[in-house]
Amino acid sequence: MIRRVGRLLRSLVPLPRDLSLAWKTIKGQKGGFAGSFVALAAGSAVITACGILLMSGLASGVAPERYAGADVVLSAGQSFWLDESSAVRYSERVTLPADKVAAVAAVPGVKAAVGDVDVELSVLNSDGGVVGGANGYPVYGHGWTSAELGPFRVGTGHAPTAPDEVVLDSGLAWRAHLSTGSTVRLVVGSNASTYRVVGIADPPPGGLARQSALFFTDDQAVELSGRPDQVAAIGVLAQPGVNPDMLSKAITAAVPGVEPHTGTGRGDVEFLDVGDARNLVVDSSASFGGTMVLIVVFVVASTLTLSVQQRRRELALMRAIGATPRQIHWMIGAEMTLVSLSGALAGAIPGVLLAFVMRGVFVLAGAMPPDYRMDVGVLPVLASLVLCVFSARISGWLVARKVARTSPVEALGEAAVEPRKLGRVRLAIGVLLIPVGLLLTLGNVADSGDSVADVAASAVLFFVVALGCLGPVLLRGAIVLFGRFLNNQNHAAGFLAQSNTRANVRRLSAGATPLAIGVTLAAVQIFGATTTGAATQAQLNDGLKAGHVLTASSGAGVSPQVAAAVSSVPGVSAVTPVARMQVLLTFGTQTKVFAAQGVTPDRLADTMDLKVDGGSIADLHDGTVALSDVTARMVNAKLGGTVVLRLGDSTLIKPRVVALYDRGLGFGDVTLPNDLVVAHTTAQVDSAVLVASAPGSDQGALADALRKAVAAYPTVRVGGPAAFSVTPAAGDSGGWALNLLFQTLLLGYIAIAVVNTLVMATAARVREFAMLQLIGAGRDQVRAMMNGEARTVIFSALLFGLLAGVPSLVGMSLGLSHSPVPDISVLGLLAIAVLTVALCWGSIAVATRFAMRSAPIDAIGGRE
Amino acid sequence: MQLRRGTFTAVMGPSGSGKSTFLNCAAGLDRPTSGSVWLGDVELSGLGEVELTEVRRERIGFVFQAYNLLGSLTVADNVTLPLRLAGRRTDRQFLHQVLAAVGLGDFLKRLPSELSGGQQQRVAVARALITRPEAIVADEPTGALDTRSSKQVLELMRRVADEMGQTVLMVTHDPVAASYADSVLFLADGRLAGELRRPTSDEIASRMTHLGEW
Repeated sequence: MIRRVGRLLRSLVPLPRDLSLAWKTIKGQKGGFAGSFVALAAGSAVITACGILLMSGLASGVAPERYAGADVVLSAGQSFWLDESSAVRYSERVTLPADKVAAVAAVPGVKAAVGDVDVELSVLNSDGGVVGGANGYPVYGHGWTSAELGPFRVGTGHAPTAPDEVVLDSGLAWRAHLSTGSTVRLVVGSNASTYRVVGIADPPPGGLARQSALFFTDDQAVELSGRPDQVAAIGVLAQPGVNPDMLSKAITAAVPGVEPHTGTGRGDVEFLDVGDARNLVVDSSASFGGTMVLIVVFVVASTLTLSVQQRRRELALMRAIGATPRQIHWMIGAEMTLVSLSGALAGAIPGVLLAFVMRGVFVLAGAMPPDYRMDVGVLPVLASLVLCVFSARISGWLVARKVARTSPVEALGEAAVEPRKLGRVRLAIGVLLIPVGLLLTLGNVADSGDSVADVAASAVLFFVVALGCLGPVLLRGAIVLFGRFLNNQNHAAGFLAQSNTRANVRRLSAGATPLAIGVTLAAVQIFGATTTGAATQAQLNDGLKAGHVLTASSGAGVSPQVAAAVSSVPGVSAVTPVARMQVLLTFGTQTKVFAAQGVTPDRLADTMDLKVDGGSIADLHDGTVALSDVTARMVNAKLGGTVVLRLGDSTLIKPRVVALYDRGLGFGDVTLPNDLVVAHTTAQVDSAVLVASAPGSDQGALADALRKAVAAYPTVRVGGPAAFSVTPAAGDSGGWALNLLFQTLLLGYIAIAVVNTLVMATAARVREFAMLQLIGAGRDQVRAMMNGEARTVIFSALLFGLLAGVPSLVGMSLGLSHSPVPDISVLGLLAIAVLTVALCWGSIAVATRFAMRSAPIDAIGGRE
Repeated sequence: MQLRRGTFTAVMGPSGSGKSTFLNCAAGLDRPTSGSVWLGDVELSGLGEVELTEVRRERIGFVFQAYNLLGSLTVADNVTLPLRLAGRRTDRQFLHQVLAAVGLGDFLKRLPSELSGGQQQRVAVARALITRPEAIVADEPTGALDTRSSKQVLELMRRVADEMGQTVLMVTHDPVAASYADSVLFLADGRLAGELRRPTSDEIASRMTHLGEW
């Protein structure tokens, strides 16, 4: 038993003498290990960055401002839990019943419990312009009692006591040039009213950076919120000496249905975007970091294989002089430990920088608030160290296994021609994957839970694996078919390039295959996005019939009264208020997020043609829903059946499906009655009001008439169809940016693997280049030969990479727009081609130059 | 020192005696710091890198200890490679003649990996001959071969000098190999330390012992 443990330990931790041998080998074989080192350093950087993001997501956040003085903040559950570990955030504020306030106040240890309401509003200055909140953030109105949670203290004047009295935070008052005694116009929704400023409040010690605050009397705040029986959150002040965490436990035990938050977590309740970001960052960095570990193993194993192949003779010699396979394992293990430790350490600092770059991208994409704090600790670096050493040891073990098995005699023999045949299993898998992939992409076979386009997009994996399996075969085919055109056989360099590529397909495919896979992934990523974007825009262009669109210039949106106000304007034939939110549909055991709109069915086709192809949209009333065809198929819903739907504020409804339509991408996959959606958005407003004109009416005159009709609503603007924006894609706002970022990192890593492989394979040909020069080749002829080989690799990678992406793109396009032609941008193609050329030709050219550095006669006599 | 056309000269000397430098200068791979090198009527020491490459390609044939051939090319393609690099047409008849001369007339389509080490060296000799060079420079051509293969290669070099009238210059450590030459030059500490004409291997060995370790 002890011996077994000893052996296990021995296989993990190298002995000093193994390490010193390994160190000497590494010093002598810099080129071979440089590849693994670079791969590990880059992998370590990404893993460290993901770790830092994960830690920041778990522990950091944004400190509360208005709730800074509350010991515990209670909220309703803002997330829908898909399973134990992953959650979807609701798009609107989930509110708490107001009667919980009293229940919480009764819990022992609670000094006071304050229900808070948030009313998003716009402050108008004297000439009708809008005064923004702090740092461009919105202004929220609250009841005065909640000032205690900050705490806000009245600096001048007094607390509001009458419905038309307000207190402003000092920053807002300064920006709006208001003081006690002046009057101010406030717009809630679209409705403007005049209030008297009776006091200026000093903000809490931390100040207000993400909002401006304005206080009404409690009753007025509740009135304006439109939800008399609900509060946004409950702030709890503890009695002296009561620990917040203990208090949380006591409250949740006594009052069901509330979620306690303490410390920085209170900021998540105050600022919903912080909680959204936390959810997004934790989810994505955890999954991406995990994937990255697998990729590191793969890349390190492939570079290591190459370097071990190049030292085949040395290893064979060790076997011949009596090293046992286990000793070979130890040796390679020790080498990998050294390389991975140094690589992981080298990647740590860039990893920290990368974390900040990734954060920057999240912020740019709007997925993360710019003030979200990053937690840079030692833990992510340590974790990356352990993971890198671990994955390097795994790949080292995989490679050593192969080497240790070959007999020394076999390995010492003159370098044989490379094995020509691929394994039969590998070939069979590769060939079989193609029809499976084709079926998934073009067969219209989406199962419930995935749209046809999603299935087609993910089927690219089948083609990628097929590429991996069949790479050498495909490359050989390309060389036989096209080699003559790529390389002029009448020139020595072209002839040599063609002969070399034909004879060394396996060596070449080690670089060409990952390159092709990168091309495929990039093509599907880029052109998938452009195809989706084009289909969305096309649906919107075709479906939007309204000539005029009313939107809000500030605040949350347009109040429902505005639609009524313009419907009687002469020349208006139809008015459709449009409210938007994200809803969850539950089907079987799955729940997914969909973009939803709320509209009135009355003459809907005049303003918005959804291309209804089943049922009737006119039946869209209480208790009903219309679904896009894609969604209906995905959630397995039939006309007349019911669906399980959660609105943006978590309200569960089970509406009956009354209509199916085609243009879900442009307008939203779920269409609900307008009043229902409005009632369940945080601010209870529409996003826009669509106005269609009667045939033959003067558009300019109508626009003027509309402007006159909304004159009473200072924030409402009359615009053309362009003012109606595309539905934000379902899912999280920053989803696409994240996706893009991670894909870029992934492709970057593939690029490192490609460069590694090509550089190592080229640099190992020192003696070949030397010999060519000695028998009369000029250096330019050697370079021309290598350019010819690079040409073959580039051509094949682009050809097969793009071909492998085509089925997925066609399938996506069919699923999205019924057209088999995806939207392929010339610029995107050019970018892919330029990158491919730069990576491949760049690495080969540099490595060739490097390999011809020493005088030919020295090189040819030198060691392998 | 002058090497006459059609002679076979071996160069010997202890490690560090300047054998390689001598060979590199003679073959136009390196330029001497003092003195001059003439090949026929061309002064190699005065040429630039491009001209030297051309001279090597046209007028000098090389045979190395190992790694002489491109694994991806057939025997015929390997032999004709210098012509191809020079952009010259291949004289098929001469190719057959040369390959027959090295005893590999039937191996045109073989790949190097299908040949023995001795056969590979003979292909290298054939390649050195294909440009009808003025000199063949060989650096330890038998260093990696067994006795029997060595003998074949050395006999071939001898024939190349005698029957084809080529000038052959060979660096070697092996007294037996050197004994195939018309004359043996001994180098020590970068200087010419003597010469033996038509020597036996025993004479060479004793001379080498005299020069120091070898």
